[in-house]
Order: sequence, then C-alpha cells, then structure tokens
Amino acid sequence: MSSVVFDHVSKVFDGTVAVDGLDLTIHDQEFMVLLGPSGCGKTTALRMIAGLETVTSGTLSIGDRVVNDIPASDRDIAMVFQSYALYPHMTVRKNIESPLVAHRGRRVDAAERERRVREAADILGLGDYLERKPGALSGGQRQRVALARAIVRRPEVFLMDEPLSNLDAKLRTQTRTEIVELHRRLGSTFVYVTHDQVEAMTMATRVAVIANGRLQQTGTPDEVYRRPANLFVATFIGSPPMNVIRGVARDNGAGLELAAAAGTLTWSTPVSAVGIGSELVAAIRPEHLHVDPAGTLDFTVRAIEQLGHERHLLGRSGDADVVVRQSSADAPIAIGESLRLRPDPAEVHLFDPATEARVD
Amino acid sequence: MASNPRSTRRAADLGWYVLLTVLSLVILFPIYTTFIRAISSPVPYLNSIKSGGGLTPVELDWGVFWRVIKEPGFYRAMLLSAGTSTIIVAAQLLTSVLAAYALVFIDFRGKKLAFALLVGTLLLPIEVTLIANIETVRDLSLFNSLVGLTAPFLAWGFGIFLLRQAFLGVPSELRDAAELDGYGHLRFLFRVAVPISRPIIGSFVLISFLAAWNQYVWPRFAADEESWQTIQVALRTFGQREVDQLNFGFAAAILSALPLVALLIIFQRQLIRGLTAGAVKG
Repeated sequence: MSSVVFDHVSKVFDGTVAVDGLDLTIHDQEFMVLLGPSGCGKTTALRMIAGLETVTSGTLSIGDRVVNDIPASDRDIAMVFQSYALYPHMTVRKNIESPLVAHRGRRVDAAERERRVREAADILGLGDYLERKPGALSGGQRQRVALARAIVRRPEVFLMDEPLSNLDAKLRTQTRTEIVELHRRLGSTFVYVTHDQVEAMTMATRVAVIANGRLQQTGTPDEVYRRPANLFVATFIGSPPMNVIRGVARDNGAGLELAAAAGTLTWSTPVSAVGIGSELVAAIRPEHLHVDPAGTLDFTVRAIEQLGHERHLLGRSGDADVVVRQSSADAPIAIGESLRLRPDPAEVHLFDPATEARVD
Repeated sequence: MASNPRSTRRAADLGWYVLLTVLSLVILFPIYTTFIRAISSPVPYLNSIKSGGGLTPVELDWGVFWRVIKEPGFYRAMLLSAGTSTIIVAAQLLTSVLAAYALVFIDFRGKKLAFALLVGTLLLPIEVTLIANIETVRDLSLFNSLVGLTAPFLAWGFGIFLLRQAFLGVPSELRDAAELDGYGHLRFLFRVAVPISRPIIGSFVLISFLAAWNQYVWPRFAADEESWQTIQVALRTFGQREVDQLNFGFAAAILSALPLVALLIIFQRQLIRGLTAGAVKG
C-alpha cells in the first residue's frame, strides 16, 4: 500500500507560511498532479513527502506509516528533479545504480544491481549510453537517466518536481507521454508538481490545485475544468482563461439575471442562496461567448490573435477584459468593431465576490 | 577620414602587447640577473661590474650547477623542504575540505562567525604571531623537528575560503538527490562534493605547495641546527662563501626553484581554471 496522506499539514519558513493546513489524500497507484502558480507551496508539499523539508505541524503518512520524523533516505520514495540533479563526474551507469550503492539498507549484490540497471536502462532506452557521462547527453537523455535512477529503487511513490520544464516544447510533449506510459507500466503512486496546466490536464488521474499554500480543489482534470470550486481555479485552468464579469442579481420577470456594466447574463443552472440585489461574479470560458447581434453583452474588439485553427478576439465588455474564442472559419471581424455577445447560459459559473466560492 | 574599427582594434591590441612586454621584462629582470651571476665566474664578473658591465655573462662556469647538486647540505635541505611541504599540503587539504564542508552543508549556530574568524586569520601576517608561536614551540621542545616546522601551517584560512567557494557551487538539487540516494556526510563529501570540485582543489594544492615551499621566516626561527634548515633558509648560508665561490648561492637559488617551475608548467591550465571557477560560478 502506498497512499500519501496529508493530515492538516503546515510548513512555516521563518514566519512565512508556505503550506497552510493541507488535507490531501493521494491514493495508491494514482497519478496526482499538484498544480499551482510558482510560490504557491506545491513544491514544498512535494519536498515534505520526500523528507527534504520537515513538517511544521500536522501528520504526513506514506502507506500506513507516519513519516514526519523518518529521514529522506529511509522513505520508500524516489524523486526526479527539475535540473535532473545527475552526478556530473559519474557515468550514466554509476548514476543509475547510485541509490542501490549509497544506502546500506538498499544494497543488493552485483548481479542483481546489474540486472536492475539494465532493466531501467531498457525501459528508458538508455542501453547504449551507460558508459557516458551526463555532460555528453542531451537534455532529454539526462532526464531519462534521472527517471532511471528513480525506477531502479522500485519505490512505492515517485515524486517529480517540474521534470519537463527544462526541455524544449517538442521533447516535452514526447516525454510527457513517456512518463504517463511509465506510470501505467510500474503501477506505482506518482506525485507530480507543475505550474503547467497542460501537463496537469494530460497526465493526471487527479489534480490538486494549490494557491497561497492552500488547497483550492481536488478532482479529475475534467472535474476541475468543468466545475471549478472557486474563482481562482476557474481563472487558473484553461487557456485563454475564463472571462470574469461582475454584476448584481436582479429579477427580469422570468427569473434571475446578472446585470453588469456591459449588459446582462443569464444562467440555466439552479443557484441557491442568491437573492435579488446580491453581488455576483460570473465566469465563462472564451468558447462559450458567441458573437450574435441578438446578444446581451456589449463587446469592443481591440486585438485579434490568429492561431490557424482558431482565433481569439481580445476586447472590452464594460469594465472587463474579455476574450472570445472563434473558429477561423467564422465571419471576418475588424479591430475596433463593436459587437454583441451571447453567453451560453449552461456554461456560466457563478461565484460569491467575497469568498470567491462557487455558489451553485 | 573616419577610423576603421579593425585598425582601431589592432592598435588597442598592440598597446596591450607593449604593456605586457614591459611588465614581463620588469618581472623577469631579477631572474635574468640571478642567472647571469650563477653562470659567470665570480671574480671576473665583479670586475666587469666595476667597468660598467654586469648584464652579460662573463667567463661561463656551468660546472657550478653540478657542484651545488653534489653539495650534501643542498640535498638534505631540498629533501626537508619537500617533506615539510608535502605534510603541510596534505594537512591543509584535509582541514580545508572538512571545514569548508561544515561551513557549506551543515547548519550550526555561529556558522557565520566561525567563517569570519577563519578567513580573518588571513589578515594577520606571520610576523604578528611569530614571537608567541616560537615561544610555544620552544616550550613544547619542538625546535628542530618536523612537527615544529609544520604545525602552524596545518590549516590555512585561504584553503577554507577557496574550498567553501567550490562547495557553494555544488547545486542544491544535487545535495537533495544525494540525500535521497542515501549518501551520509562523509560519503557525500568524498564521492560527490570533492570530485565535482576537483579543478579548484587541484589549484589549491598547487598554491598551498608554492606557499609551503617558499616559507622563509618560520623555518628560519623554528630551527637552529643546520640539519633542520629548509632550502630557503639554507640558500642564505650558500650565499656566504669565499669571493671566488659567490656564484654558488645563485646557482642553488635557481635549482631550488626548479620543482616549482615544473609543477607550474604541468598544472598551469588547472591553476587558472580553478581560480576563475571560484570567482565566477559555473
């Protein structure tokens, strides 16, 4: 069993709270991505699992063992670092076998060691490079050596700290697939830290969104995308991000609607605890705003980004910056043009302006 | 006519060459005159100075080098210098590596103060502590002994400083990785930190050997028997000879520097790389 459980775990550095009362259960064999902007505490959380940072308060368990006071080298984990952290003076072989040599408790006989190094090197296609030094390898190959060094330990939990951020775009996509493949093959628990939502969406079985040291939401990539728990998650996930329109709820005869500076917005999901006169924040994805002369929101186009398969209209709606995603095949639009937008009522997300929590 | 950038640059290069040539001549001049005095027969040479010469050799006496090599005192002093220098270098290497490791990789109370004190010792020239140290050595009856000759130099603030810089260059993620792999302090030090810092350590060995070999003040006072004279001290007595053997001292001086010249030629690339690597990380 190799779940990882944070039970109200906090980490304080010299008075600065890096992780604030984190409650999070990472299940056995799960691919959990900790996602958040830089400085949000996700790396600190990962380093606490590794044992590279102490836990200030709360309980951290791996499997059924509380690990608060267990040294890093005695935890059944392996970690892959952003900079690969290979030993530059050792050959690839020495690097990969290092965890089996350095730690008394993990030492195995030479034949077993050779077998495991071979196995890890084969999985990652490093067989021909075993006698080279890291300096003679490309970035992608170095990252693979780091992965092999993790595999050779056969840990219960793999920890990865932004392992793709030093690779170029093409290699990143390829390595992403390889890591997912590796997870499937090994059946271990993976905890993966990134600020890149594309990595989170494509790799995770579950995502934990973290901001300001606090857990914002956990769920499958689909859940956090379709039903963000608060305004932070709504605007953090998705590219371009959701449009945010502020206004006041009022009765339009048929029900409630949001009166904003640029017009009105209606929604089809039932919303409790919203009365007439309540201030509200509506968030809506760029693809759910449609250019339509019968629309209810004013919009002035300020810039157009052509991406080939689609285009983004950047502009203003009242006091808000708004982005509209369109197909490139849609009718051409000129910069400076004033349009009307029709929001898709089924895709409007509503949040409380004070708590920023979802209200429906 | 506007000046051509290429010719401007050539002029600048030429300026540098002239400056470097002049500086080289200033530095090489004493070595040149020492060499001239070594290979000239002493009496004719002194006469040539009186008649305004002295910059060119007179009545070549190459045999002087052979006479120095056959001199038992020269041999013994060279061996003693080699012995004390080796002990000093080995001890400084060990103490610097261990102290620098603690200063970089271990958190303890008073770390900054300890570092400041260690490096602060560099501000004290040997003359400041000379009398107190000589008395200590005498009280411990360590005059005329290897311990007495080497004890004050077994640790050196400069070595600690240089190796601290080297260890600071070890990426923190590498330390983390080593911790997860299970390297203890000593294994991390000798399997990772030291091998990675090899260029700087190499240049430190060279600098340390140079300093130890060229010691004069301490061995001059810490030994009063002729058989405990290091080469730098012995050179002084070699210079005090009859007038027809005055070139003996100069020849001995040249021969005594040969081991250093050999080391410098072998390691000069490493020396430069090590010193700059300490200053500019990466």
